[in-house]
Amino acid sequence: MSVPILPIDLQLEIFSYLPCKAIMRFMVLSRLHHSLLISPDFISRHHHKSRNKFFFLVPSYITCLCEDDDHFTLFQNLMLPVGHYFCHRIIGICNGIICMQMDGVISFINPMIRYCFDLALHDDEDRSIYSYNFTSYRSIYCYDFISRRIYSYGFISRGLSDYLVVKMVSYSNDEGESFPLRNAWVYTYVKDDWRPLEIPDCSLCITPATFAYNGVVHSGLLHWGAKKWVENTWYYFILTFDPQTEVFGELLLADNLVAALYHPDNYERGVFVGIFVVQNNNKPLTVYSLNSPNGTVWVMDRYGITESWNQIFTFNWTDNYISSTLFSINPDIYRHLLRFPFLLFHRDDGTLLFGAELNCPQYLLRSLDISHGTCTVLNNIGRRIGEDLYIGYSSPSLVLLDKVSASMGAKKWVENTWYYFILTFDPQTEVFRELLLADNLVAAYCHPDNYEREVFVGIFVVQNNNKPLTVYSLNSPNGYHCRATVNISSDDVETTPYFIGPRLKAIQATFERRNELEMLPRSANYFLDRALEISKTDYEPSDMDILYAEGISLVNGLKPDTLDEYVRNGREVMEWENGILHWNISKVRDYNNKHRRAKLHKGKGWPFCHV
Amino acid sequence: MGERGEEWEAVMLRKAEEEESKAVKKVKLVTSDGVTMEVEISTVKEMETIQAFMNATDTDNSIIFPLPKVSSHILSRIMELMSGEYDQELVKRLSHEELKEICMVANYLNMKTLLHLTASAIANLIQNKSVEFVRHFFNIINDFTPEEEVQLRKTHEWAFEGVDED
Repeated sequence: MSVPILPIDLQLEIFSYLPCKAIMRFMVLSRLHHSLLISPDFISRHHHKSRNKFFFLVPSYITCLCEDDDHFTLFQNLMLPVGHYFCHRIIGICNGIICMQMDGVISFINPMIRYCFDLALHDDEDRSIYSYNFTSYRSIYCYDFISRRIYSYGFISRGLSDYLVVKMVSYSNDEGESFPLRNAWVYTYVKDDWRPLEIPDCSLCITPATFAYNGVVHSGLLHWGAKKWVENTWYYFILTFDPQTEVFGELLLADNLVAALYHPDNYERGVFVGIFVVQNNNKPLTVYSLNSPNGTVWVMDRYGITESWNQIFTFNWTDNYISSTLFSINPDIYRHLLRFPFLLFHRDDGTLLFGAELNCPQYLLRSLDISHGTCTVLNNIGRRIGEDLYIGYSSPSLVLLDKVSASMGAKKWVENTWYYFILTFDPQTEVFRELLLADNLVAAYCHPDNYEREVFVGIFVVQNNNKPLTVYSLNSPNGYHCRATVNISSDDVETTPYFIGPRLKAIQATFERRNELEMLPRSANYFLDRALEISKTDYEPSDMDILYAEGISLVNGLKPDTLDEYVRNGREVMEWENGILHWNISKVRDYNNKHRRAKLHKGKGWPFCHV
Repeated sequence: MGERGEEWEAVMLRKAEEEESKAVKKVKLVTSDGVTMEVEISTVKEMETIQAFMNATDTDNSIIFPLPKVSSHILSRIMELMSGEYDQELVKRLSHEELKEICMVANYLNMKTLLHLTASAIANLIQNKSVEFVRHFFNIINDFTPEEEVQLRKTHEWAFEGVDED
């Protein structure tokens, strides 16, 4: 019997059942496998087969993955690029991507492929206060005590390829009993920028432990508990955000729930009265209403139908039975609102997962079976005061793998030290190349200590759209992992002409549709005709090329977008393409002027650039 | 009353026809090694490639369907799996070669359940294996240069930890 050889498509079908780690390993099988396994097609095929797993994250302490919420013990440790600073805050998890704020920088982390992507820094108007005074004490509470501001976030995906972060800033009013929203922005991964949103006229409910809480994804929308001042009283509702339309909306609560929150006493203890949307997996939208010391849990059986709200549980935390019997805590401590148990999760079996801060660093996790009135001790975990705890479902995926592999930081052992550089992979030619870093950046990494803790030292290429190649370097003095973002301009990196390669696609698109584009500048036509020559790796611009390149002006203020959007609008494609052609040509010319001695060695394996 | 009776008779007649067609309709599958296997039409239902052919030709009870890519040994294994309602235990007893061949046949005949079963079984088999094992398993030719391969392995060093012995 002949040995059967499985066709590549069938192999991919088999690979799509594999865990992410195995796929990371099998990228080494062959060039074909490498390019297919990192393709968006395969990533989405793999994602469709991936099952929801239970994420259990305490940023600085435990980061793990469980099969489901029944088995808290089946931990698979996720290696997060997390250091020892206090300011970690998990904003959300979508498609296995963790959105996390670390030391003021928001990152998308895919722990399955160990890829970390830093979002473009966002300048809100008080950047100075934000960056210099963002001490651990304030940041863990998501609250700036000096400027009396609260930062609230939400993280949601738009399909498999686009990710949105909603950032809202609220300022305390003079009485300190509410925090009306003042600013709202949305970040989109595809465009890599922050845009202002129309600000909803309301205040977000704030939690006893961390003040702000992050948006909860349900039925494709983000949800936050909110209130507004209507006719001399607080009116409670759920603020929603639709990632498709990027518009805020309102979801109404049951009338009697709103009525219960009206209680005149609440005005006195105002701040910590509120409603909070609770994470869940397969359950209907769940809301925890806190009206100290009472708590109620409501579910919206049919999403969007106000009449379908149902109260499933109510309790009083000063009740001895609940607090001392079930939670084995002295009910007296609940007089201090910060210690109030908080509903964290509505589990698939219908039990409610409560977290209660007892004595720092101990944190109690209790699962409350509401039909039998019994309570299970799940875990007493250690964590920092007020530190965010995230539990929720998401399916581990390879999302962003195409980004990590297209261009990656790498190091090699040269002359008794690590030599850092950027490894590039060209999908057109399927060839790896080296891109050199600035000398002083490399030198910073050669520190002898780094060899000891080498794991978290490294260079990471940061995804962007039309910015110069950006490198994020991570070095760890004194055992702490700090981060320094280095923007490398074209002058700092010695590039080979290869650099044009990734842009080729855009030029090709224009070339194919040039007949539809009227009023094409002469110079653009010239370059389109020479597209083939220009895209070659050993291309050297002729004098004529340079002459034509001078004639093209870079279009200022034009923000490049997804290619598709520009192709739809032919005129803009051309302008943008001009910009890119101009950029490419001048870059190549600069390169040739500066490094006349540079030679491109095309050896057997690695074409290195020697100066 | 009369109308009802007629309706009743019509229903019974249709049922009888259906049963008759079920009993009679068999499909002959001719394997690559020349063996003819007679299988019931219900079995063929899952083989979407054959089903599509039958729907298109609209033939009567005597159908002969050649399967030049399937050996009798593999076809009998597939019949075992189907009659055993795709028991995981049965799959575990298969050899690596058998598993691969069944997976290919499942793909060729477009049998979704069987493809899912075998593909996940193979995935299970290789998930903790080394790159070398998988190259051998799928007969993949490594076209990376040694330097490139070392570099790639270093980039994701963690993914190569905890791999089973071949």
